[in-house]
Amino acid sequence: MTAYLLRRILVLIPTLFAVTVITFFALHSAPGDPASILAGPQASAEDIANIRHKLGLDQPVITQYFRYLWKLLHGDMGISLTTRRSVTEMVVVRYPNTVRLAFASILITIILGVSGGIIAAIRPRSILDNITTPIALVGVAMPGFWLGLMLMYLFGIKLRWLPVAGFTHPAWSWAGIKDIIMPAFSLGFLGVASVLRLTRSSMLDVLGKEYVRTAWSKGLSEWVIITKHAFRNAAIPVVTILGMRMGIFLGGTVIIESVFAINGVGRMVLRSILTRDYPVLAASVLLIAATFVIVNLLVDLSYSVIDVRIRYD
Amino acid sequence: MTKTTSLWQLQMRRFRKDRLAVASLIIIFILVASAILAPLIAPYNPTSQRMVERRLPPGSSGHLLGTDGFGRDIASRLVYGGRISLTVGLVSVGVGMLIGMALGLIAGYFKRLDNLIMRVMDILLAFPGVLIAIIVVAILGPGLYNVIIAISVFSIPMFARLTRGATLSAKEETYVLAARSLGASTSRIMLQHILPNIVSPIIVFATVRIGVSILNAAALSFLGIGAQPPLPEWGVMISEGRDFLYTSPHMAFVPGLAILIVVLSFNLLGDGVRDALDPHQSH
Repeated sequence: MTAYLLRRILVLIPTLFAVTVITFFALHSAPGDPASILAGPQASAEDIANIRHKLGLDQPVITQYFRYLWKLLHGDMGISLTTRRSVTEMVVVRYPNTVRLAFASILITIILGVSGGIIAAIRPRSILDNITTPIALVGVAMPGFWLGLMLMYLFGIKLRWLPVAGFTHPAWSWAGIKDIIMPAFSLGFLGVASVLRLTRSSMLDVLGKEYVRTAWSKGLSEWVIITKHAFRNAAIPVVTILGMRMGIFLGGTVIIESVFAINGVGRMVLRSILTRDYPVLAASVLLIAATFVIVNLLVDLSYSVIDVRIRYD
Repeated sequence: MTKTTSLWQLQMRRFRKDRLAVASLIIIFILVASAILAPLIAPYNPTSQRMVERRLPPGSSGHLLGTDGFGRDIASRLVYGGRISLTVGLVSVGVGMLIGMALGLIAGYFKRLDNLIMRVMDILLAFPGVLIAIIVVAILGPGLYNVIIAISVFSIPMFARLTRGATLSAKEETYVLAARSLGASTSRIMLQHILPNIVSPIIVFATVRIGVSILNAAALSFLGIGAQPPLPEWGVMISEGRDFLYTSPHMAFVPGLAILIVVLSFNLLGDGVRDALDPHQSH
C-alpha cells in the first residue's frame, strides 16, 4: 500500500508539472503586456520598462518559467494585475468556498443518487423506479446555470425560503446550509441521474447473488442485507463514476459561482479572463486542476477501503 | 423468391421502433428547418428594439413568447438563436471529431507515437470539465468564434481516446492482416479497412457530443465570454433575462427550455442510433 501510494504521488508530480507548463506558456502567448497593464494608462515608457524589469518580464521565456515555478514552490503566485495584491492571498480566501460548493454538490449527488438507486433496485417497477429514467434524461440535458436561476426564482424570489446569492454565513450554521442548498443542487443535479441509474443496475446485479440469498435465509434484516451485504459490493462502479464526475463538478463551479455570486476560485477565473489578469488566471486554473488530480487519487485509494480484497502493492 | 433484408434496412427498422428517437429526429429537423428559414419564420427582426413594448409577458398579442428588456420579440430571437446553437454544435463537434479521430487512429496504429499522443491527451483530460474550453477562451479572447475553437479542443481528447481504443482492437483483426498481406499501404489500411469498421461508435458519441457542446457553448456565452449581445444566442438571452428575474422570469425561462429540448433531442437521437447500430450495447 505504501509503495503504491508513493508511486501514485510520484506520478502526480509530472502531471502537475505539465499543467504548470501549459498554463504558463498558454497565458504567456496571450495578447496584452502585463507590465503596461500594471503600470496603468498614464505611465511613461520608462515606468513600464522598470516594472517589466522588476517582474522579470525582460528575461527569456524559459528563465521566466523557472522563476515562476520556483516562486510557486514557495507559495508565491505573483501579483494580481488589477488589484495589485498577492495572488496567493486572494486564492487562500476563495478556495474554501469553491471546495465547499464542490463537496456539497457531490454530497447531494450521493444522497439523492445512491439512496434513490437503492430504492429503485429493491422496489423495481415502483413509481420511483419508473420516474428515474425521464429524470436522468432531463438531468443531463439541462443547463445547470438555468436550473440555478429557476430555483432562485422559485425558492428565493417567490417563496422566499432560501437566500438568492452568496455565501454570507459560516459553513456550519443553519443559515450557511441554506446558502448552499440551491447552488449545490444546481451543480449536483446533473450527476444525480447517472449515479442513480448506475447504483440501481449495480444493486440489481448484486441482489441476485448467492451470498445475498444466504443472508436472507439466515433471517437477517432487510436493512443489514441492503447496506452491509449488497451495497458494499455494488459500490465500486458508483465510486468510479463519482470520481469521474468530480472533474465536471470542479469545472462547473466556475459557472455556478457566477450564478449565485459566490466568492470562489471559479468566479475569480471568470473575472480574470475578462480583465486579462493572467497571474490570477494561472493560479486559479492550476489550483482547480491540482484539486482534480488529487481527488482522483483519493478516489482510487478509496477502492481498497470499500472492497478490502483490493490491495495495492 | 425470398425477400432479403439488408443490414441497413434492419437498422432502420430498429430505429423506427424507438419512438423517442424518432420524435427527437423530428424535433431536430424542425430546428434545422427553422434555422435555415429563420428570416421567413421569425415575425420580427431579432435585434430591432421597441422600447414601448418592453418586457411583455408570453401570450401578448403579436408576441407569442413575449418581449425582452429592449422590447425585442423573444420568439424571433429564439429562432435566430437556433442558427447559432446548431452551428456551434455541429462545427465544434465536427472539428473535434476529425482531429481527435486522426490522432486516435495514429496513436492506435503506430505504437511509437501512441505514448506521446495519449500522454498529451491525458494532460488535456487532467483539466476538469469545461475548464480547458475556458483556458482557450482566455488565450484567444472572448467571442463566439473562439468558443467554437474552445469547445472543439475540449472534445479532441475524448474522440482520440475512443478512436485509439477501437483502432487497437481492429488492428488485430484478420481482415487487416489480409489487407496487409495483399500489399495494401498503411494509409489504405487505416482509412479504408480500419476506419469504416470502427466508425459507428464514434458517430454515436459525436451525436451525443453535439448536445453537450451546445450546452457548454451556451454556458460560456451566459458567463459573458462567448457570444456577445446583441446576438440572440440562447445563453446570452438567459444572461440578459437574469437581470429581470424578479419581474419577467419568462426572459430567462424560455431560452433555457429551448436548450433543454434541443440537447435532450440530440442525446435521445444518439441513444437511438446506438441501439439501432448495435443492439447488444444497449442497456
